Amino acid sequence: MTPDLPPHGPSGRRTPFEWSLAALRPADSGAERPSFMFKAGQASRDGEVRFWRWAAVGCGLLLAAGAGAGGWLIADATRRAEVAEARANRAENPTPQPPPRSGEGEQEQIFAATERSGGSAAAPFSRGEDTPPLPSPASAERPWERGPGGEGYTTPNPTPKDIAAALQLRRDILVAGLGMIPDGKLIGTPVPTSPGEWDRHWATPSGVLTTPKITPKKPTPIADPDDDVPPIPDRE
Amino acid sequence: MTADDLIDLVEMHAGALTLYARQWTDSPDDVVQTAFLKLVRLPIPPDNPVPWLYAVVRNAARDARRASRRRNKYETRRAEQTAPWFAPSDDPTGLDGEAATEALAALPDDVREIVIAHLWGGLTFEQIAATVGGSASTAFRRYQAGIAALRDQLGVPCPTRK
Repeated sequence: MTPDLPPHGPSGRRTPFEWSLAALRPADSGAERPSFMFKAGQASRDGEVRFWRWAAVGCGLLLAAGAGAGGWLIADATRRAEVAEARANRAENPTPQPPPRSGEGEQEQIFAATERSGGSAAAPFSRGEDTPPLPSPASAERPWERGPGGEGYTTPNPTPKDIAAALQLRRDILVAGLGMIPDGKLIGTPVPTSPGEWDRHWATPSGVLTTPKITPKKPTPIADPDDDVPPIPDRE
Repeated sequence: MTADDLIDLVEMHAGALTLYARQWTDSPDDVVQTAFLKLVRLPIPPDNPVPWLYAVVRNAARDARRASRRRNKYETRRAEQTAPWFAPSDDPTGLDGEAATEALAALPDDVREIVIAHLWGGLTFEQIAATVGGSASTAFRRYQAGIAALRDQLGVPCPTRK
């Protein structure tokens, strides 16, 4: 097939020799047309396939990240549930609280331990010679240390483990709140019922475990400054 | 580019592109096929794909020629001479294809590619200049020199000017 030759050269004319040469038909290419067209169709889709391939990889990465985050959240929730369950179990089955030493309360125990350690600047609350003596724990001023039968709220012979458990329970209550207070299933011991009794039981200052009742005060009316000012007399 | 556009391009220009590539390599079909596949893979096809195809075929054929020369110089040249460049002609008064092939093979490379690109590829001299380098007037002068050399080779007398 002779192509339509464009005008060439300044004159735009073509010689018969050139027309004779152009009439020679180039030999057909050996490429098979159907296979070539198939390859051309494949090549035209290369970009599209590459795009969807990377899109699938991206989706896979997102799914993996989501699964990892979900697994972490589930594990974290499970851990929190286990901690809450452990605390609930400890609240239901608390270790019996250590009793104060014979003749001493908890504060006296601390003071006594400080005294035994020699008393130093690291223990500023150690009792010295000028410190007034602490009241006897068995005095009538502290009747809560004795139950109805005088047996007290604590076990008679606490072990260091009992003491440690009691201090741990006290720390939990001070940190987490009154929800950590056990149900009071101590065998043979009455349970304090009012917050004030708990203050006395734990030897905390009054009002630590008690929520003071807050009565909203009525706002005082702001006096109108013009009320007491006499009217300006009219000038005549 | 649609499939119909590609089919039209292949049917109209595959032969001329193969002839154009045949002057450098013994496997012009692969070179031409690769050029068409490159055109299909372009995200934005060129406005005028024919000159683009000729430029791609030219570069690929010359690279293939260099590679084949490094491998086996003499066998490649023998293959290039035996493969027919033109199909047998039905017109007995027309030029002989084998003679035209020998005459074209005898031309210098830079002249031969311009003659083939213009006569059988249909490129303008501006497009040829953009493909091979240089100016359109230089391309035209080389074309005229190539036609004169072919006329001498094939024994066609030059028409006298009146």
